[in-house]
Amino acid sequence: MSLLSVTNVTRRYRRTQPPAVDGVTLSVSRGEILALLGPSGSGKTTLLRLITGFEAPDAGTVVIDGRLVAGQGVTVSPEARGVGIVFQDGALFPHLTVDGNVAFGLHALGAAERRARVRELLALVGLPIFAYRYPHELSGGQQQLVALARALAPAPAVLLLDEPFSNLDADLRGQMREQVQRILKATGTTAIFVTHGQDEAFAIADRVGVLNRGRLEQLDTPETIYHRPATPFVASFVGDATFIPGIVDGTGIVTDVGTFPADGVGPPGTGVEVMIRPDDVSFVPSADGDALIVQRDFRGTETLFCLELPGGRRLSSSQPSWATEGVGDRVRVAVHLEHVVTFPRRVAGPEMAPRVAPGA
Amino acid sequence: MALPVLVVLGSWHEPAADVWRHLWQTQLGELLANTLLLAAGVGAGTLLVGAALAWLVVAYDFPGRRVFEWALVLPLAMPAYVIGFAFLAMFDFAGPVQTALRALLGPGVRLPDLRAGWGVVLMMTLVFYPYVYLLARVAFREHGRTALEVARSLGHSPQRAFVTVILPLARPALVAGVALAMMEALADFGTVSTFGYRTLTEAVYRVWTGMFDRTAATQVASLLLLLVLALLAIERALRGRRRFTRAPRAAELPRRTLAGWRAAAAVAACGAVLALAFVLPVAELIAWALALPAEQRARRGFAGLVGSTFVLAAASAVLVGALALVLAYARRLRPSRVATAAAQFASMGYALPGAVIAVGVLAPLAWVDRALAAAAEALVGHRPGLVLTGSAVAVLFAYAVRFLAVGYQTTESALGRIPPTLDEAARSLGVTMRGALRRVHLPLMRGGILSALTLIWVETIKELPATLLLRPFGLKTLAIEVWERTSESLWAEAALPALAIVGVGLVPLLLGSRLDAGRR
Repeated sequence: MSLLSVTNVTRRYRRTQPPAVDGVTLSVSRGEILALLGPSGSGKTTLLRLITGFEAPDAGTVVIDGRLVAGQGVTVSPEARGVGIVFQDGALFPHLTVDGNVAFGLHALGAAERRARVRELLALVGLPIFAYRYPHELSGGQQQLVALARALAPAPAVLLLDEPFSNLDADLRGQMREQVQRILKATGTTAIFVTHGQDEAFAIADRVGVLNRGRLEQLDTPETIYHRPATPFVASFVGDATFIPGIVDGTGIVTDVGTFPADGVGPPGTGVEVMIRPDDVSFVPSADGDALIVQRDFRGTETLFCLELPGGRRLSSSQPSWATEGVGDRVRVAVHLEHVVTFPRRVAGPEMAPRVAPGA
Repeated sequence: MALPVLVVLGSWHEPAADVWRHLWQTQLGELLANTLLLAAGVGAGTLLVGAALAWLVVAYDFPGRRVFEWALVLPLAMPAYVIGFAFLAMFDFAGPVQTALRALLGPGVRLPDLRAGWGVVLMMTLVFYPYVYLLARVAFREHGRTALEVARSLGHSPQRAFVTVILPLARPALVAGVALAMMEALADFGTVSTFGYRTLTEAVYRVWTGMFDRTAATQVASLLLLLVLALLAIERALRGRRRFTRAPRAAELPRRTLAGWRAAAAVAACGAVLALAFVLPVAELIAWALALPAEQRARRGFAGLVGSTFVLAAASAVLVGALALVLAYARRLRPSRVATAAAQFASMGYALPGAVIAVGVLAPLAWVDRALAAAAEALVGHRPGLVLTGSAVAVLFAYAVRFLAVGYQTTESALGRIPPTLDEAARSLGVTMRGALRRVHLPLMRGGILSALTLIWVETIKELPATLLLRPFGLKTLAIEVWERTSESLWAEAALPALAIVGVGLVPLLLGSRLDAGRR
């Protein structure tokens, strides 16, 4: 049963501009963690604010735990929605101690109960001894944990996290991600997590929704999002992708780099584009190979090669970091697709252009 | 709040022809010329003194520089009418300077009379230059180093770089400082009236109290208002599209250490300004105050005077502070165009001379009074006296118009430092907007609100023209006492209240420098 349902929600800030959130529908089940992924300006934060009630939808409805909170003439104010938030900057109250911050939303409880609840939450986030410190005496990670404890204290129906780790160092981020996921699962919290980093979304979420220009392009498990992207935008936003044109014939989809199975793609003669990710592409050095290495990016855990095919088309290939081939070497390319993902032929728009431009 | 301005501008509906013709024939030309000369003179003087001193303390090092850097702000505590009368007293025929000169050089020695245009300009330059000094110092400090180094790497000498780079960069700050000083000069009433220098501000008072013609007074005020608006427009234009951008953590200018005669000259320049603008007048005031026999002091009811002034100022601070808070919070909750416009309009009040505000405030209040009286007569058949006009309400209304800007800017910047996510965090935790104000904003703004209250309190104590025109019968403040005693040349009796005003004026400066020190 879904705990939070957003139905056909639209929010337009200015008449002259396209809506920030455009007809989005999604639902979250009890205890589920949903990540909203998208580039900046895609409407992630606006969607969160529509759920919290800091923005009102122009159309559509928001239902939390069976109660209509926005739409159809109803507007429940933010403080009455039972939605917790963790902000990017933590937004701890600087004039209150950790203790005071966590207790802030517990004004309905008696003093003793409040104290017990605060203690319980500080233990949960692993900061019991910091109760009497002020926010500025904590590290960035600790501040975010206190913000989490504060948001969880009144036991909200839904917890929203707005890029909660983006102000932290990269190595701390991974650690926090695990810890937060553990806490959310341990408390059975239903959460929506906004991020523009796919690693974060994949690591923490049960399902991921990808937003682009205010529209929800796909809502699926991380694996499906990566391997079976529904749109070219999702394909190139989640991981690198190159699109190679192909034509369906009796044997499959025929492309410059091989022929792939064409299950249900269309009748022979259909023109498509095949998505190819760098880890699908391998090569062997060969003096008479028809491809040329034009760029080599050493990345530490991998080495990314850019290969130019005879027609001038380019492909990325991810190889182990010890790969020794260099720019100017001739190679023979092999593409192996575990999942064949195709899209109808199109004119590549700027937002859908693969990272490595075809035919420079 | 806009009411007084509209009233003043709208006063042309019923021209007071005869008074006006009289003014026109006799004095108007002189009044306008005097006012413009005064503004221009003070503008030039403060620019020269303020910018030069700022550059001296920012770019060079010399003995006592740290002390001077701070102390050169002190004259700001001194209202122009206080320094004016201190100088008059000092250079009076019977004053210490002339007496000493006569003793030295013989009885025939005379000094030129200070009671002239140049004397007024000098007085105002001495107390208003800190506006330019403060803003210029910040601008030099923040833009100085990188710009200077780039200019020098492109082959400019330090002197040339100052002219080609530093001055243009500091222009918005210099313009703003000079504009502030000129506004103060236009608004001043006490100094020009003690010096017998006729300006528009002084004319408003004279027409009002001397000829009892309020319409004509309002019309003279409207001329003054037009001058102020023109000045504001010029300031906008000169400031250009440039904003006071703060270079992030800009390195300070490398100071050049002065030695020998250069160091002596620097010390002498700073020392002379500080002595003339602050040390000598204060010493003079102290001497007079001490010379006044104790029983005379008691008879004048000094304690009662201080009491009533402080209470009036406290009422003004609370009222204006509360208004400022409401305005700032309303704008935070709903940043609508109306709220923004209201805030901008309110912040203009500080540019309005007290005399203009006074005449503008009185008309609407008098109207309400008449309406009230008529209503009361209709209801109970008895006509009460005027309730608002001539009561503290009128004075407080004028203070609100004049000082709302001071309160609003301080409150608004304190509120602006609180990130909006805190509001949202509070509300997501089940707290209403009013609850958030009480539990989050007010505790975080405590410092800002306190300093807003202090500033309004101090400004109210220093205020002279509006208080003088609108005060309820019998109410006296320190400023009025100083002005009345000086008009009668009773220097000694004016000294003690003047010292009290200077003491009060020092409060925000001391607080400010403490905050300044804390920030570094």
